[in-house]
Amino acid sequence: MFSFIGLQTTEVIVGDRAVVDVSLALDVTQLSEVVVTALGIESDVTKLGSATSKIGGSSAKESGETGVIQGLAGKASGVLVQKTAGDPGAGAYIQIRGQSTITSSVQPLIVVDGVPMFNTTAGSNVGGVIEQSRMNDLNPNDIESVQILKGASAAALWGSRAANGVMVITTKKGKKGVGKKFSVVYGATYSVDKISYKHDLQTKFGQGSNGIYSPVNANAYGDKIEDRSGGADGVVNTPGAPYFESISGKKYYEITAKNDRTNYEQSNFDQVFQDGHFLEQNISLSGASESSSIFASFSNLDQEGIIVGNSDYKRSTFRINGSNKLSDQVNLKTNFSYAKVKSNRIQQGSNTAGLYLGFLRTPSDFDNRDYKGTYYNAAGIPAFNRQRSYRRYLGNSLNPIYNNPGWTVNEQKNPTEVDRFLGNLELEVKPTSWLTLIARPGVDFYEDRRQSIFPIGSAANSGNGTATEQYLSERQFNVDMFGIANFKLTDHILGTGVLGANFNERTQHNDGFTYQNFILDLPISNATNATNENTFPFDFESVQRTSAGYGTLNLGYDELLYLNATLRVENASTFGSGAQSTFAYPSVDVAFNFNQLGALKNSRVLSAGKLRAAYGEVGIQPIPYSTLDDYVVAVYAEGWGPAVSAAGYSGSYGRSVIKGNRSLEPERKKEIEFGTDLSFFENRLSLNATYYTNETTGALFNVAIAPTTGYANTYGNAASLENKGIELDLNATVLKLGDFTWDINANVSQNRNKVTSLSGTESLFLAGFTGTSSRAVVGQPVGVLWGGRWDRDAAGKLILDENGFPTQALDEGILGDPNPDWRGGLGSTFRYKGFRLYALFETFQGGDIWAGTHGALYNFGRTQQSANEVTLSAAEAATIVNATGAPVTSFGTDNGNGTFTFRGNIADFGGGKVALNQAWYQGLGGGFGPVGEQFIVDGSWTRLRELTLGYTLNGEAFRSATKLTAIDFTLTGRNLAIWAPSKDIIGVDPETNLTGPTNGRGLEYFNNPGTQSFLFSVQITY
Amino acid sequence: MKKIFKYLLLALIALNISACESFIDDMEVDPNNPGDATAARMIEGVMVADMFVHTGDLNRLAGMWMGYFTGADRQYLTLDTWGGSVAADYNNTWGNIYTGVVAQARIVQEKASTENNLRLRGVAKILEAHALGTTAQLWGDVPNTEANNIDEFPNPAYESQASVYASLQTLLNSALADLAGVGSIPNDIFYGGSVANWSAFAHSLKARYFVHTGDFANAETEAALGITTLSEELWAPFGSTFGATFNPYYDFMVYNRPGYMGADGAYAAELLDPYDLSGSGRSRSNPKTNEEARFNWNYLPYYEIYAAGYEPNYLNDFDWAEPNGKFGLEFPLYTAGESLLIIAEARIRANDVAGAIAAYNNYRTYLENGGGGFHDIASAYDYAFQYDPYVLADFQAGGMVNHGQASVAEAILFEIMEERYVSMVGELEAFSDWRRSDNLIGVPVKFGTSIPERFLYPQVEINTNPNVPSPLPDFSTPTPVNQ
Repeated sequence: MFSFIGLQTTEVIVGDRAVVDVSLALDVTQLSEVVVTALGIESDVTKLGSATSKIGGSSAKESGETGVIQGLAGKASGVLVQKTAGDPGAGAYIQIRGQSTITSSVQPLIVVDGVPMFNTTAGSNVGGVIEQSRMNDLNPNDIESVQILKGASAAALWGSRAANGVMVITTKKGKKGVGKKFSVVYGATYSVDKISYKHDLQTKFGQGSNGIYSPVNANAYGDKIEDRSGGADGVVNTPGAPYFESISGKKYYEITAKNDRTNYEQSNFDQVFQDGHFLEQNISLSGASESSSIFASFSNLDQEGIIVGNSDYKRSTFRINGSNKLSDQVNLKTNFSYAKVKSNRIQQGSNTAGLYLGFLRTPSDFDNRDYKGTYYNAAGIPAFNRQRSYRRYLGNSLNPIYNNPGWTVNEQKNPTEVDRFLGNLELEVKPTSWLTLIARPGVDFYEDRRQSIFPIGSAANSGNGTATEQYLSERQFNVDMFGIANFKLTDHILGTGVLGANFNERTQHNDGFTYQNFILDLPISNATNATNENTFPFDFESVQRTSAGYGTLNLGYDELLYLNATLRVENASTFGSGAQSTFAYPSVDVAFNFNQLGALKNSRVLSAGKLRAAYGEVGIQPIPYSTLDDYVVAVYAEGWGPAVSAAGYSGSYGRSVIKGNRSLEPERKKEIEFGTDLSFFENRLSLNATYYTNETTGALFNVAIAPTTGYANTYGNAASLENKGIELDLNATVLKLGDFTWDINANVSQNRNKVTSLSGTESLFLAGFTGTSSRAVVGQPVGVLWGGRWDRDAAGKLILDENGFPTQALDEGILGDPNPDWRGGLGSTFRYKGFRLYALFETFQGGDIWAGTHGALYNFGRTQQSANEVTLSAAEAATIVNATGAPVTSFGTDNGNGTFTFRGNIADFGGGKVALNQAWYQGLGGGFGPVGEQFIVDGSWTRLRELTLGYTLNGEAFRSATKLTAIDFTLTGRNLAIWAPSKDIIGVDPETNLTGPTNGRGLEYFNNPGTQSFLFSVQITY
Repeated sequence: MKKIFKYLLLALIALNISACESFIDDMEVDPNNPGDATAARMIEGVMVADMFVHTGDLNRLAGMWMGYFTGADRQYLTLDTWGGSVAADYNNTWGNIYTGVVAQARIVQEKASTENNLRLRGVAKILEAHALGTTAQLWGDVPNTEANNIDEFPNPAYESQASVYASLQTLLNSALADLAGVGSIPNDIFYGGSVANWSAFAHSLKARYFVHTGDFANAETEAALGITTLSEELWAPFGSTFGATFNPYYDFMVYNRPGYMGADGAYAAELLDPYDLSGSGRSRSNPKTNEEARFNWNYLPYYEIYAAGYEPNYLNDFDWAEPNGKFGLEFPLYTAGESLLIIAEARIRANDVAGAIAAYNNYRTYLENGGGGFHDIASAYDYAFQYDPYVLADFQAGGMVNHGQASVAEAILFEIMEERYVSMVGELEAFSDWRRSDNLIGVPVKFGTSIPERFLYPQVEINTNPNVPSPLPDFSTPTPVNQ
């Protein structure tokens, strides 16, 4: 069980430790004895004056997630981890202690074995594919622990890279086996993944508009399906009539009478969704002698997504971590890992060639299965490889308008292939007993080769075919050189000092080309398949460098009081030449272990007690090349898509609309935190509580300038914002009866964020659409949902039009807040002999979400609510009007008995009853109208994030019989239950975001669905 | 302690600076973008911006509101009338006007002055005047002299519409003087470097702005000096590359937003349609006039490719192997027809009935002889067109072009304004006509009881410039020239 190691007076360097208790790793070990500091140096938790959370590697692994970060969800206070979608390899959004910047990345700095690692998610937008996070390149099986440095004080040594906190990841090191010089571990996990939640769509009414069937109409406002005669449709199949012949051989003719009552909802679903699955295998070897250690691993993950067709994720990794003590004074260590990732993705979101857009809009009386074939016109001339979609059911046009989902998943290709290399070398010299010198160069490099091919006949580029191929790469060199000195001032005061320097260079390349209007009707990856006129190359490169000197001083008075101070002095290439060149980032913290005071020292109740206080400053660098005016190719665009470019003529440049800013500085975040760590009854119960408050000043954003000045904006240090919050962690062994133990660990966090200044900008767009977006607004939390509202009078009452319907307000405003009021996690572990049962509940309460899909589906007549039927008396039907002022008698069905029935709903906005029908849902009352307010819903959820049943065979008899050390069996369920008040309206797992891990939150618009998983894994240890 | 800290800080700074000053130096220059460009390599960008401003989202909005087009799907169902339009709808094109045309044109003027290329400077002035004139026309009071000078005027003042028009006349005069000077016009996608054509365009803009301000005498003089022949006409040279040279109308209706905008029940289509497909009975063809070719050039007769009913004719040669419709490829920015109609209107406003009829017949001859844009499609499909001269009797009570007007002059003005309406389908200048004539020709009002008198000041300007007029005028407030 948990136990504190006795207080050590010397510090050890990562990698020297021989054994880490594996069973302990399952839990969030707030109590764990050893913590890793920002420099990758291990320290004792009692010495720290700031809050950190440490999570064991196996905990992330057993979560059933294929990425390290995703497996941390719900396990630590103050840390929000949200997967962006259920697609294989999907990235995750991490937010520590609220959002402390507005437009810069909010993702924490990831440091692996002392070297920063890219956590990039490149290319997330309102359309396109779900992109991977480069964090996913780490093999979760290789992780020893993840230490989350939440506060500015703990992270300050990373200066302008640390404003969002630092995740210090330590990989496994070689160690001896149980009774052996080495051990071998083989593990295999098989997972079955299912769509976790579906949109609930109406099947009562067919394709068409105003109650009339039309086989080319965009909407499902057609005739009532049960009123059809049944049987085959009336078609024109006379010789010479145009028709479509699908690749299955089925022929489709022009429909003249819709008789068929078949509901294709299920077969259309089965066409594109399946049970996803993955198999992950991992083998590792670990060994150690007196002077050296080695850890080697190989893993392979092969995943098929829940979407049929081109949705998969394959990852192979290998790693070697070694150390060798060359002499008593010299120790050499190296960590090296390589990952190969291949994945196919599916187009999603606001994208006519995306999956859900075409899928959810397809009326239930249209059969999507025959999506491809040949169109024969009246002259009998064939057009091959035509797409058949619900708006072009004969494939008689190159452009299907919206893709048939079958085409989206099978014909379009969006592969990515990544090579990732991460390695470092650490030379440690101990010239004397009190001094250690360390040099640690490291490199992180990846190349991501992406393609996105829309064959001829896709909805993109009007059906003429388009493709983009790009080569993204990032490289990071990092060198740390520092010395650690231990000293003794008096018998009571011991100290440690560190002095060092850090050099860091990051380069980024994004080169590629788009080619369109294919010459051959082949989806080949080759730019010669388009004319020069239709080929558009692009290239981007950037280099940014940071250099810093740093020092730390740790003083301890007995074991009672610790004082830690750090200072980083930093300079970076991204700062403007007009700004001061050097910035200092100090931190100081105090830890008072009051349990060491006389009377408490041997208390049987209090095992440990600490009060702590910390202050720190951290920052965020500006993006490179923002200090000077640029000239750019003269390209002009408007919001609806059309654009012109001088590159299409003889080429011309214009001054960029972004004004260069010579006085750019880093954003600065200052944070104070207070906390206490208490544990009782020999650590059977522990409680950690932290209060923090921080303020970011000089937050960077593109400050809007009046366009009449000739510029549209300038990138500047113009915003400020603050966060305040509390974090509580509770760990307890509730019951311990013989072999049975019951542990719980719970965490609760609350954060209040507020933008305090935007230098006059009323609202700043972060992500989303012209209609509804996520923004920064002064006095509001970052990311508030913004858009069109109903017009209200001073008393807040809706202002109605002459027909009794609400009207739109002239100006836009705040619609909701996607940030949660509070979050929590509750883990519970039961152990009995070799069995263990772990359940993790996570809750997210009070955040809003924009149910954009639901709004759009009103417009198309696909929501259940839009398919209600209302019967009114003759008197009511004559007086109740719809949005255009027409009485129900004019559009309802006369039932012949004086009553009228219409499709829609009756509502009363305060001016008496009105009829909501197609006219309303396609105007102000639908998702394409300007009033986003009506589709903001409560995005709260509670979920059974994880349920794990494990059994370990490692008894004496077993070991001697098999020569094995242990076999572990684990059954895991992920997202087995989701409770969410608005999930019927949202239609997907509410843990979703259209724009991925960007700063804009709470947006849902034809997002690909989330998943739930059932996993079985076995691990054999020799 | 404080001292120790101080020494430590100094040591760290020394360590940092000595070791690595050069490590981070000289990295300010963006390797991805140049820091400057020559006037010759900027002028084409100004033209691209200028033609985009005059063919983009503003044209579609005005076009839907005044009976040229019909919002048919999603957001365009709401934007079909000004009742569904908010300030944010104007951000993009307003930005393109000031940052794309005005700012860049003024930079070109400075650079061209340094290079002593007066003709290039003149062209930049004309482009600036083209965009600013449109802006003043649509919004009324707008920034002008304080625009594009952020160091001195971070919040450019809004000048009165009258003074903007006056300064544009001056600007165009100085442009004409520049064109008479030395230099050349490189990379000219509008006129291939023709000084004569640029001079004609400058005079024509002067004529147009005199019309806006109601100075018809000067308008007639300038119109006569302006674009009066087919070879002088200015057509935005759109091409066949998506995302680069597409006509924005084509881009919008076929590539980016098919189905959003058609012309079902559009008043202009019904006026032009000789087949009366919608059954409105509004065809303006008469014994002397046959609109078949012009109708087919402007509209598709119920092909219903993306939207029901009429659709604007976006067909073209490169994608559809069809003769170019008005919205498929090149698009008129200033035609000889506009000049000829200005002359006719100026005369009738001066009560010169005979002169007006002669001028108007002169315009009809232009339509017969290659003007009006529809001749290619007419010859490809043998569509008929006929614009015989009118005589006085035709405008008198009971005449074929008297629609109940009390006087001949009124009938002539009505005919001229209606002709302007159907000859400028989808052009912003028609939106000016509609408002300055207070909907003389009776286009059905789609929302409320009166026509929209302006565009709304853009949200981005409201948010950032405290000098934006207050209180904000709404659609019911005419711009000063129309008050």
